[in-house]
Amino acid sequence: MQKIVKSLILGQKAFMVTIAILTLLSSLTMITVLTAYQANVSQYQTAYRTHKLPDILVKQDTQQDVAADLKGLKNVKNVSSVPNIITQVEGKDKQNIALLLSDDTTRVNVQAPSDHEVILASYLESTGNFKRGDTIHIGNKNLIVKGFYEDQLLGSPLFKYKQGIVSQTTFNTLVAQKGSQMTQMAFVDLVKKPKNADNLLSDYHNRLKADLIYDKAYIQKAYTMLPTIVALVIILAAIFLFGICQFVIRFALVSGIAKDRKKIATFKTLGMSGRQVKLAYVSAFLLSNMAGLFVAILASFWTSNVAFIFFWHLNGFTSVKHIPLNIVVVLAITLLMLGLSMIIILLSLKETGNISPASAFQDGQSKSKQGKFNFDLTKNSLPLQIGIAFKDYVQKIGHYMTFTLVIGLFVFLSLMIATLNQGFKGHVDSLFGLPKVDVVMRTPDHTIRGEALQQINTLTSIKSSGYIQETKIVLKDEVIPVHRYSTIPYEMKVLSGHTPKNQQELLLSSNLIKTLKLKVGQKVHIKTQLSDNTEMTIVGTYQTINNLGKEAYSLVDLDLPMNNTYINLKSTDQKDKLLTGFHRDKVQLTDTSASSKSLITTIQTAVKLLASIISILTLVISGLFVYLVSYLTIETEKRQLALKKMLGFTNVQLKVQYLFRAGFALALGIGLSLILDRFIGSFLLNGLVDLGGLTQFTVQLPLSYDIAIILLLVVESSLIVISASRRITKIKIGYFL
Amino acid sequence: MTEKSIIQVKNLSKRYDNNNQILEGIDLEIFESTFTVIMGPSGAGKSTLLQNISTMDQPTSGQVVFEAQDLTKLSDKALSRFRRKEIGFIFQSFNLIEHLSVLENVCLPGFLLKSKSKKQVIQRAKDLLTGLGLGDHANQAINHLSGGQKQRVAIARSLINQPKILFADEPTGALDSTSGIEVLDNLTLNNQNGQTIVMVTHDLKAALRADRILFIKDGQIYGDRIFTPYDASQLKARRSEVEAWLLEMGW
Ligand SMILES: Nc1ncnc2c1ncn2[C@@H]1O[C@H](COP(=O)(O)OP(=O)(O)OP(=O)(O)O)[C@@H](O)[C@H]1O
Ligand SMILES: [Mg+2]
Repeated sequence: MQKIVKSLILGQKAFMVTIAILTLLSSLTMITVLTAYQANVSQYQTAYRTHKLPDILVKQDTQQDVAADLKGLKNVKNVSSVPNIITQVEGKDKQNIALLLSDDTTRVNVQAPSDHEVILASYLESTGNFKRGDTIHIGNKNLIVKGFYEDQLLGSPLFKYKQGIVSQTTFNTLVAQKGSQMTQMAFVDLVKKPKNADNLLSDYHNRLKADLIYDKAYIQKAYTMLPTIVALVIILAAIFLFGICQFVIRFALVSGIAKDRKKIATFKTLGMSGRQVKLAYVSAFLLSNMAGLFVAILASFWTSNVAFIFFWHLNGFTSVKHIPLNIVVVLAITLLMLGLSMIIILLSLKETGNISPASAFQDGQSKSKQGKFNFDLTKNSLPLQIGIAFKDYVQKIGHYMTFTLVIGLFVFLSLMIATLNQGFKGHVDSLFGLPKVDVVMRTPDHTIRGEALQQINTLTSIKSSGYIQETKIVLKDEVIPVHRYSTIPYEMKVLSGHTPKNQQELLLSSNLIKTLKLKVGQKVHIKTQLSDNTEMTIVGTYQTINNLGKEAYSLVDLDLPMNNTYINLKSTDQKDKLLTGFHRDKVQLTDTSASSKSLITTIQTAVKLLASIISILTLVISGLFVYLVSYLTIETEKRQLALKKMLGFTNVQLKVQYLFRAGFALALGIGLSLILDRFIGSFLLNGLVDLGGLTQFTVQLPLSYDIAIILLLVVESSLIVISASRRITKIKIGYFL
Repeated sequence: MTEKSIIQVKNLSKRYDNNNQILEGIDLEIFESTFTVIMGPSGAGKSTLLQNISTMDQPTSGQVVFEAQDLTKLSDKALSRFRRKEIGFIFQSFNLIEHLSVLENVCLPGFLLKSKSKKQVIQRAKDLLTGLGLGDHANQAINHLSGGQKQRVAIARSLINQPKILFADEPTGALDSTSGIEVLDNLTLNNQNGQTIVMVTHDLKAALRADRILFIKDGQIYGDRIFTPYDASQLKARRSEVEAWLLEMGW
């Protein structure tokens, strides 16, 4: 028995190694990603507990403490309110940064700074705005940056609140200064977690003025959004890899059994039962499976930490943590892998039962079947080389189909990731549902706005500008932020229906219409700051960044002040010059892309990295497969090759035949991938993107990408086939005939 | 009969990798339109000799000259062309390509040579098959044929390009006597039409077809004798003559 296992393993060394490597790669990836992802989620939950984070956070722009008001509400157990000052500081490249200052050190783990010091959120360090020792001017004070802290609450990739902590004395001085803007952060704990956090504030009289910054579920989503997308893509790739591993197992077994027919027959003649033969195969193949798994588990101690750190960085944190191996994940993956492999092995082994010694010895080769559809060399006008290659291809279709499927699936994956990459490259604004606006200007009143616009126009030509109103409405007991643009700044992506045409029309974000269970065309009653009951019609849905939250777009409340002006410049290159060169009292210019820029860059980097990994994997795996298939077909066809040489085929001709055969398989695989890409690609991608909380995806991969991927594969495969077929030259006719 | 030499073997030696010296300093000429049979004890090197003459294998040293060309020095391309055009080969185990039909097997070397149009090749293949009694089997799968039929397909294939020499290694070895005789009759008929044949055999019945028998022993040509061309009407006399010589050789 041992001897047989040994002879099997030695006989199919290449396969055993491939299977071990594929098992290693796929299980390592899965264990790593799942462990790291799980750790990322639980890290958030732990942070939530240790930092005693509240159930909800309410922000209200007012001087007064709101704690008492909120405390009186029904479901509220506990409220602590922290006053904050909103100030402007000058960051990198003289950019204005709105900084939220408080003197509260209880929530984050830092020592209170001295009177001439400030501690900043680490986000401000990683974006290169400040470093330790910098001096910043706030009001009439000069403060030295003492250090940085990480805020697990407001530092999430979606918020990245620019915050700072100063001493109590400094804070009081700043508050006392004339014209200081204040806001209250209220940390609220609830008696009972409501199903919908919004309902909590339904009896709060200042409801339309208070911002509900987050509820727990929302912030968890924010924390796990990026890791979720990345993890899903990687896991998808790992599943592909594992699928391929199963293909290889089946391929190895089927071709191995064909090759070992005589050996098996000999074992049977020697009195070995069919079961024992099967057992020999099962143990040989499971052995290489287990070898791969074992190494994967060992390596995952290290890789899951690397992956976790990567996820942690995606969250905007830099502090390094160590995570242990997740036993549940390891066990689940082990069982899954071994179980599936076992099934595949047993299925592939059915064939051995049919091998009788007589049939095996009669003819060394397995009985070749005449193709079902008959392609006759004498009855068509194809060149002989192609004709023969095609016949041989059909003959070995089983081998080549595996190859085709593997190539097909991997090219499909590559195309998908390339599309994803493309989507994050140029169209990020729309992916986040942001209108494409270069800068937003905040002005206290109408006259200043007009003057400021003129001043800007002398600095940099303005292409278009308009006003944005921001307000809130109550719809179905939910407070919903509403935006209104004087004219739509760019083709806002309306998913269904149309943009509002009169004051009674309302556009809701696609997510909101889902969560509120509303329909386009439906009439709804809303509450605004000016009226308690207005009837409006939902005329359509659109995309917005806050797919996680909610937002509406409407023509409501024309009387509200229009403090925000959006500006699009003739040439975007001038933006930085404008932002640094424009100064006017009471006027603030902000770069709208700045806040999402770092998030976008993070995502872009992550997706790009993924795309590269998948492309490399595709090339490696398909290369490996091309080599295996070529190697094996040549190995099993040595006799036929000798025969063809005897008939006068040159070595070059024979090699070309293999090239053609691989070409057929490759073409079919690529065709398959294109079909998959066309029909389920965007569906899968949008599923992914949706899970990540982003809006829909309509990116079309440029044709040049498809061509590049295909060309690369064709060149690679050709080189490998040529290299694998070098052995044809060495085949001696006399030896085989 | 004017005897024109078609292949000259000069001082040919063959040694395998395991250092077994199989053939040693063989000098030999094959003449046009003759039927040469190679005999000898098992393991003497008959197949080795045949393969080395026919370019199926490369001798360790020595020359095989065909039309003033040393075959052992040809490039892969020239060698392939030589195999396509100048020789045919028949094996004990047929060596047909199993997933091709009878007609495809026969046509393949013709298509490969390209000296005739596809149509002409197919026509010649059909004629050959009909001549060999296989006219009705042209489109059958190889697996569906008997051994004798397979061997006749192999003969048709070897003759498709009208080769100068036909090599055969125990073509009757795997056949029953009736099929064997059919195959031999076919070979004889071709020889009578001018086909040069070199055949290795163990079988006395097959050896009788020869007009020259070489006896190989210990890696050398131990005996070389010319006989009158085969004549079915004088089989008995021929049989005793050949048998007597072979016994003398130690057969
Ligand atoms: N590829 C090889 N490598 C090493 N030795 C070989 C090889 N082929 C044949 N031989 C050896 O060369 C010798 C001659 O073999 P060959 O096949 O020419 O004999 P033969 O005369 O045709 O025998 P038979 O009548 O049994 O067919 C044998 O001893 C054989 O073992
Ligand atoms: Mg022999």
